Amino acid sequence: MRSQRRIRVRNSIATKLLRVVFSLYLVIAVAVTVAHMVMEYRYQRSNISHDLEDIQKTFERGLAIDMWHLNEESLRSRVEGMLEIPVIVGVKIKNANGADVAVGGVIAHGDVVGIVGQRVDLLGLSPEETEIGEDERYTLGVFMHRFPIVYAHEEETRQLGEATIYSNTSVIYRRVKLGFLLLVINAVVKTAALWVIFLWFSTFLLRRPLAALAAATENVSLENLDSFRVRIETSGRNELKVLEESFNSMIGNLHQSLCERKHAEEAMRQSEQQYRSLVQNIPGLVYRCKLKTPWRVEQMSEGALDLCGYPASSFLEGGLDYGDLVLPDDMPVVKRAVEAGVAAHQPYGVEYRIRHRQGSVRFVNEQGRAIYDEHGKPLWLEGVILDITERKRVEEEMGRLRLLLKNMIDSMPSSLVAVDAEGRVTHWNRKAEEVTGVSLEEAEGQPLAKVFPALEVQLAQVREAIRQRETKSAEKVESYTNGERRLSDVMVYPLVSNGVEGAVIRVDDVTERVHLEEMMIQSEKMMSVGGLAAGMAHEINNPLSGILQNIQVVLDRLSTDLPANVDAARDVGIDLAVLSAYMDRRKIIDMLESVRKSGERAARIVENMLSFSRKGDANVIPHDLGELLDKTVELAGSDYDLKKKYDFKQIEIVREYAPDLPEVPCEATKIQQVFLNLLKNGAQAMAEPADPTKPPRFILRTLREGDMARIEVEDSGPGVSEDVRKRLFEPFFTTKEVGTGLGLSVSYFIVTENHGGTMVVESTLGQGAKFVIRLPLQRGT
Amino acid sequence: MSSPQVRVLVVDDELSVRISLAGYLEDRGFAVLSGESAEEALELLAANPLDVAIVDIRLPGMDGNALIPKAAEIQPALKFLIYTGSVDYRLPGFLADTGIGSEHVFRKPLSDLSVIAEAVRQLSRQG
Repeated sequence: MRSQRRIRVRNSIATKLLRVVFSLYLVIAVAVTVAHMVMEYRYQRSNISHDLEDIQKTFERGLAIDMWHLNEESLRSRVEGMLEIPVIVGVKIKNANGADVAVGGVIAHGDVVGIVGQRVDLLGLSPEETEIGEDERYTLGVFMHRFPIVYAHEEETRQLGEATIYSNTSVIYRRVKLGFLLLVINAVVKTAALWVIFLWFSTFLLRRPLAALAAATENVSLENLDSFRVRIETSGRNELKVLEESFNSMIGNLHQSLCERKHAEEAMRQSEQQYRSLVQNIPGLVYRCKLKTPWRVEQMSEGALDLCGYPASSFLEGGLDYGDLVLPDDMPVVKRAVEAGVAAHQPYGVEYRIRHRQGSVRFVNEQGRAIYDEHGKPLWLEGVILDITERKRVEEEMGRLRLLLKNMIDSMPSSLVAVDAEGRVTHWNRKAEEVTGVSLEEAEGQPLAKVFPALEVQLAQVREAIRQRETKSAEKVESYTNGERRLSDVMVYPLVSNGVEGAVIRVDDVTERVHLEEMMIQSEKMMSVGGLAAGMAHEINNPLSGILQNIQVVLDRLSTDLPANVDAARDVGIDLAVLSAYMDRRKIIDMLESVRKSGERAARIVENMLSFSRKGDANVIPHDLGELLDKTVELAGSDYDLKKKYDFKQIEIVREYAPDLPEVPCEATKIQQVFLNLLKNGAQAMAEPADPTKPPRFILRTLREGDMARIEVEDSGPGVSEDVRKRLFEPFFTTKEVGTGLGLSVSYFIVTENHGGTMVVESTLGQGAKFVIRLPLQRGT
Repeated sequence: MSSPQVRVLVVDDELSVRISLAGYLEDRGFAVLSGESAEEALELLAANPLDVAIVDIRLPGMDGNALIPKAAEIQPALKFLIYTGSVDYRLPGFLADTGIGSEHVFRKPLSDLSVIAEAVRQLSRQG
């Protein structure tokens, strides 16, 4: 390196400069010298011409005299003398006839110049004498001076001839020779001195400082820019100083700009790193690709590996196309979405499935757009693709869960109604739809009272539940749907989660259950009565037996019919007839009769109570219910107690017996007891008619109801109130002044417990009552 | 009273039942003995020939069911009626075998004792 940097003197700028300068200098010097020499030459030549004229003056008189006098000798010597003059190289003299009379030295005949020997002949020289030999020709430049030879005699002048004197350049050269030499020497010496001096000083002043600068610059590097300074050894403020300053300034600038550039680069690098990290950290695949399928990828983030199992390089270099991963079924959708977005200059978004490298199917969401040039021509696509498989799975799971929850609440036997804080329905289940006949869509957003009128009375509770955040409940809430009385349990659960205000109302129709409960209670009561009766029947029956038997014996012994009475009366001396009259008057017999009646009634009560105790069904055999009813009607007609109050025969009996009803297994006497009870009750009820225009009438119906036989005993009496209806089958419950309060309850017990049937009463006050008995057609377990 | 008097034994621990039944039957011409327990009844049977016994079942000591076979041992011709206050009384098999039927079982209380008198008469006629 260093050796290459070292500059040979020959190649130095100084040398080159010198060379150029000296070349020019030399040219100029030579030109000036030559000019000097030419002028010198011309000057000498003109000097010579003057000399030749001077020579003319010197010799013209002599020559004229000689010629005039024809003095050949003198002429000869004179020519000889002329040739002796250094300036003259040749002489030619012509006479008036033009013939040469004397020649010598270098002369010219026309164009030919040459040397001839000295000849003189006043008569004229022959041409042969003056001829210039071939080898005497002269090449140097010759010049001449010609003058006439005139002889002046008295006032008369005569031209005798003409003389020509020749000189040539060699004469001039001889004169200027030394001057020329000095000139050349002068020039050469000056030039050489200048050369050396220039070289020497240029070395000190230019070459060395520059070499130092060059050496110094070699040490400049990016590392020492901040501290590096070049120093050039020179004096004064000259170009080198300026160069040094410039160079240092340049280094300074360089350093500064380098620093700036470093900062910029650092900033750039950071920025790029951040950008790269940002792009790489985007959960998904960031891409740039071609417009057309299969969307050859131009740029792609490493998210590709996660998304589809292939590294980005597979797409960028490996020849893999993203389009190949899209499931064929979804391809048209993706294509359409992308093309539509590109055409409309709108971002596009599309969800579809791709095949992961490991074979699994992934759901992805792609958001992208086309990039256009200034003419609106699309160039490429850019966008991001996110894996939404998990989201899809969650969505599916949520959908499934929602369905499950809906199924769950729909499968609830209760009506479930969700309301907001204003009491508007936000949701309800299938049961609520069934109960109200209003679909969820119709009910949504409607006030509760409007779509679920049965809950109107519960609105206050709903509000309270929401306000107090407490569960509220109400049991056996009454409502009427289509005129039918229904009972519901209503629970109001406030929704306590944050951000949700409202309540869920659960409505259970408990009408059937309440009925059942009522029946259970009846049965239990009866069973306990039955158990009690069985336990005490013996204890009561014995004293009752004593009472009744003794009354009978007492009455017997007071009668006049018995012979023993007559005998005894006679023995004690009284008249039986008188005694009888006395007892009649004092109503003793009546009282004894009433004791007997009371005893009998007590006996009947015990007997009825005993029928509450369950007994075997030994006497269960199939019976025609119509026949049993008819027999009972007959029996009722002859009932002693009944007869006393009204005539059963006045009651109209309407029979509506189903012809297809099979015989029903039952205990005939017990069922008849039931029917008799009902007829007696009805007859008694109709005996005090609420509506005189309504004739007393029984409607007796039998019909088949599935696997049950249904028997209805409907009267046209005053009916019963709801309160009474509820308690009608209760033991010892009675509305009659005279009555055990056991008739209906015994009937109920016989039907439900002994026969496995049901017994209900339907009644509206003032509209009569209808007892409905259902007995199973098959005697089951 | 052309026919010989029918002799009846009434066994009942309830005094009012016993005396009223005995009184009723006496009034109708029966010869009546009465005892308040099975043991007393057996004593009476040992000493007196009788035609019909009306037996209560629930008795102090030996009950009516046990009394009947013992009484029959003493007087094989004796006929029996059962008159009980027990509602769940069922005629035991060993008694049914001796010819006692459900028609010979009466339940207390009877508002009219004539049914018993009639039954006694029928049994006595069977001899």
